[in-house]
Amino acid sequence: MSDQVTIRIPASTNHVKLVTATATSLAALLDFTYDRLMDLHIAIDEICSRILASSVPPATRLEVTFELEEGRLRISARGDSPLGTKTPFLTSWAQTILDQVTDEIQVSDVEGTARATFSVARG
Amino acid sequence: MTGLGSQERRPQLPKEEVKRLFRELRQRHDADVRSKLIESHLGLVEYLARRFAGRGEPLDDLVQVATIGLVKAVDRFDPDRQVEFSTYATPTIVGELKRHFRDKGWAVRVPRRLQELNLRLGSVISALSQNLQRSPTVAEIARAASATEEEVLEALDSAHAYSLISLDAGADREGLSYHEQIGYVDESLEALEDRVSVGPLLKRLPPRERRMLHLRFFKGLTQSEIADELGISQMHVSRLLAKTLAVLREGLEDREQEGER
Repeated sequence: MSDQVTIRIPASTNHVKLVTATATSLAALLDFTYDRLMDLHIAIDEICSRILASSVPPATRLEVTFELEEGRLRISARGDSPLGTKTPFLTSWAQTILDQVTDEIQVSDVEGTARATFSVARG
Repeated sequence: MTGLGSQERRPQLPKEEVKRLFRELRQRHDADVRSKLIESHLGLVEYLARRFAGRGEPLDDLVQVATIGLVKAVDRFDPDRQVEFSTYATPTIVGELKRHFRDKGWAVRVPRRLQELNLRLGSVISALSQNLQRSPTVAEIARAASATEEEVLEALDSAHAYSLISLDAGADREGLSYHEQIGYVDESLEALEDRVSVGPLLKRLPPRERRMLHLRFFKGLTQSEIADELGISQMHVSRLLAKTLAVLREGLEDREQEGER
């Protein structure tokens, strides 16, 4: 199975709920367990708020792409603004959380903006 | 306590009579006098409960909660004080109602149907996890709750929309020693590079929330395992975790912004 869903939202914490809601529906399609669904929520909240908090100048849009794989949801998120240099994108605290709730996480540079990609398995 | 449910509402008593009954109660601790005082103020209870109606909780429940406040007020009131009982009781009753909303976390109005499903899902998920010996899927939850998957998803989402659970609620009920409480923080923090900024925020959390973070992110327990360990529902764990992480995130971002200035 290979399907892609992309949503683009205004860069604000309130709209991140739309991302979580989309993720929830997709995860249900993939038969995620409740535990992993909740992990997915935590991961999205954390990544999106890191992007919002560390983009300089502040991002105006957030783009999140979901790829449905066999028993796994792969998610990449990026803002439309580069990351600042003062604080690391993934603080040690954020990394600690994400290590627990995602299966793998990568941050790459795409045309001057950072893209965080991670995946969560259905459990 | 006498059965409150069976008590009938009585007409309001004259102020002097109320005073007299309270003096009698203080002297003789008579259960009948106590009931009479409680019953004669059920009108006040209902009046105050109605002020909180329309926020997604059935009025009956609110009246019950408010009645608990009334009983507390009756038991505490000192008739020698220069204040009417109703004046004294009002803040106690309102306080009880407010605590009820805080504890339940219904900060935002959510359709009744979803609330009911949401309340039911807590026990459905726990029961399924027990039976299956693993976390259930959405489809399994829907089947067990006799609801559609969409309804389950909506109810789960609404749980997060109104997850304004007081972080103080139940903070001291865990029976952890001071050492245990502090131990979690220190052990968790050793591994963190940003412990200087995270540490103070973690220390400000109630013990239960701190323990939850520790178990989930430093011990690697799943949310269902934490629910077992703490003796609360998985949904409660999810809500508390999401809320706690949001509080920490806010605190950390404030610090980052200060640092950049």
